[in-house]
Amino acid sequence: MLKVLLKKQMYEMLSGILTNRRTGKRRSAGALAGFAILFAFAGISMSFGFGALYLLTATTLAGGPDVPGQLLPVEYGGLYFAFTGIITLMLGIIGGMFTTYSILYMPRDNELLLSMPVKPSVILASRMLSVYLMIVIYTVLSYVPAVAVFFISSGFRTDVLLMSLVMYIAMTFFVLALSCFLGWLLALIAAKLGSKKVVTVVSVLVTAFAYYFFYFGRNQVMKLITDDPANAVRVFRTTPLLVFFSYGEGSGGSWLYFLIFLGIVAASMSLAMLLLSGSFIALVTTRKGRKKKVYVARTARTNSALGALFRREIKRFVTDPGYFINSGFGSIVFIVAAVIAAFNTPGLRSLIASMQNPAGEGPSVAISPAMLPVTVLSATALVLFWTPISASSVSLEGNRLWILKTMPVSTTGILAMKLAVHELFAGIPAAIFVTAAGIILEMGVLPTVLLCVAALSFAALAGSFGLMLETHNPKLDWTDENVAIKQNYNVLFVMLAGFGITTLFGAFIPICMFFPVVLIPALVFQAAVAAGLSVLFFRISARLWETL
Amino acid sequence: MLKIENLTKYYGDKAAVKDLNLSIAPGEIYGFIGHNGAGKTTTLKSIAGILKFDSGDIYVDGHSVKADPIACKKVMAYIPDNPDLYEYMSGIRFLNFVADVYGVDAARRGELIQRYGDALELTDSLAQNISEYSHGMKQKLAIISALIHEPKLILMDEPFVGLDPVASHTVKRLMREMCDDGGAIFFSTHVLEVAEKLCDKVAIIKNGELIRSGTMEEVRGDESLESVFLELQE
Repeated sequence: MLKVLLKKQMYEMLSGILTNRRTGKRRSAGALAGFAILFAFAGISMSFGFGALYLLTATTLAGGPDVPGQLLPVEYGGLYFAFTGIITLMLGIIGGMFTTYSILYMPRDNELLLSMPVKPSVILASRMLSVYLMIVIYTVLSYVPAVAVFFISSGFRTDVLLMSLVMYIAMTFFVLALSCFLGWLLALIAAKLGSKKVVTVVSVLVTAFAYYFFYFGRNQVMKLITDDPANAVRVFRTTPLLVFFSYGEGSGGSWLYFLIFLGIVAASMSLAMLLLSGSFIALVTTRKGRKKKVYVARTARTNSALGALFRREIKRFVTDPGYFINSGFGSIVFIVAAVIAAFNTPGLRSLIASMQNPAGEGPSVAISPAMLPVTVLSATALVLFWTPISASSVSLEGNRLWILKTMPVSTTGILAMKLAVHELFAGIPAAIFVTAAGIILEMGVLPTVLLCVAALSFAALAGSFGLMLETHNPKLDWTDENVAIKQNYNVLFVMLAGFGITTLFGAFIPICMFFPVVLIPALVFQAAVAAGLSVLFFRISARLWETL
Repeated sequence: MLKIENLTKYYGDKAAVKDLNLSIAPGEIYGFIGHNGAGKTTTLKSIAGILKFDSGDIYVDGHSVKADPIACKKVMAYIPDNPDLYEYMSGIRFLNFVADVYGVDAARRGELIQRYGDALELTDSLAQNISEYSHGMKQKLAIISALIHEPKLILMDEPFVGLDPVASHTVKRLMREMCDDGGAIFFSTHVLEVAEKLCDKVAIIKNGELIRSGTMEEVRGDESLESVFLELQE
């Protein structure tokens, strides 16, 4: 039975890749190769990023760059892997944790499967496959460079290769267990309180906490390791970081910690399975605490047709935890970054001043003030493309697409409202962020204004690009809403495009470094190109919508 | 009210509807019957503007669906066989959303929501989220949402599926009232008894082609509609 359900789950996941939904036909080998290349490009790009971070850690532990040829000391191998374990866990959480609730408890085929002679644990296990594969896809991007850098730094060891592989697999199950706990907790809250809004609030709080914990926690751990590795080992052993230390030492060749970590994972998974399968039927069928609201007629507040569509898009975005967390995370990042920057204004200003007027020894080069706006714009563009709100907005219509298609509203009106919501939740926070950056870093009035316009243009570009992909190949046949968000290749392509756009427009950073006079034309050019492309993509989207 | 001229729609190489011609006058309830996969839903979706068709044209209240789809949609409503609605909305929010899009003023929508909500016994549940509705309740809500903008033409795909006998009876009454007021209804059904009792005219479609249409008397003659239908399907 598990095999049958796993096949169904795999089919659901792969159908978007293997089949063209518009024609219903199997994709050509060329199209599949294109998919593979894009995936590989994204994976390799991210792996290189983590590799650079791990190389820095290994080099520091080996005594720093001033000690050429120095190998990573054997006693710090565990510490090194412990650090990579933290990053791996963080990626796994991004990959799996925040959609576990929806994937495990919210699919539309709950009643169908429960009516069949299938044990709840088997239903759960098959659904966990989706979560698990997402966790593996994300975490492998950290594991591969971690092992590669270790071998570069301290030489190849077969035992480390095998043990680290087992530890990595165990880590993916550890993340799965954590994801299941959170999913179960959200399902429990939803069933007891009967409100999805509470689930949204809890999800946002957990996300914010996790982001804070990992971002600042990672920096603290990095500092701890680089300041005094011997002390770091002591801290790791005597705090909850022991989990990572066991992972690290186990990967590095210690049988004792290898077994300890396997024990921790086995206990976590057993507990998770016990908890979830014992409560599954109750949680997916209970509607406790939901008091029936009786409608009381009152005069409705009317809206224009476009206003109604706009409000509908907003409502869907803010009431769907999966959509909000996965696609709107950049909005939170912009606002949090602006607030943090505002609180650290003196520090940031002195940092920039020291970079512009370097003193002391070393081959330091003074950076030009003209570099700042274009650098901020590049970073903003990247985060904007990593806020793919519009890139699942058509797929989310699912079987309800008929409602929009039968309404007397123009295609441009429908798509414009989707884009408007993208601008509201991505463009406006980005504009706030760049304005704050402009003021805090004293960029001047004109560059700040242009930066703001450019940020809104890039938001429109990311939004219209997402719409174009969505109207070309939407994922409408989902049984679980999260499939339209998390397993939607349009989202991935928008995020990949972010790399391309940042690389392309990032060329203005060195140009402005050497020719500061081109700053204003560079900002105007970037804003104009982004706006022009947005209009083009939007028009294509409108044409494609007609064929849906 | 509705004129279909040489409608043809292909899915790949397969013709789902071939050269279909049909007219519906104001005041008529027109039944559309045929076996599964005969082309009923494709025809209804083509009229509603959900599906693009390959040739021919459809006119709703004199407007071409091809040339002026918005004008057609303004005077038309569509109720699908499976009412997938926005589950993140409450019933009343959904109705207000539909009323906003069709520009129904606050007083009129309040009056119509109350009237149809009471008729279909859904008023008390309108504050609830649609996700909590049963299939029948969703069907009732879809019917109310179709009626609150007072369309001239309603397209219904299997409208009685999931409705309890009381609601089913009420919907038939509302359909009759709407047509008596000058509206028109084109609906598909597999329940031949319903078609026989309710419809002024009926069309039978087989493998995408209209094989018989006209008034009930013209189509069935002295036989029952079921006998005629079964004969024609052989």
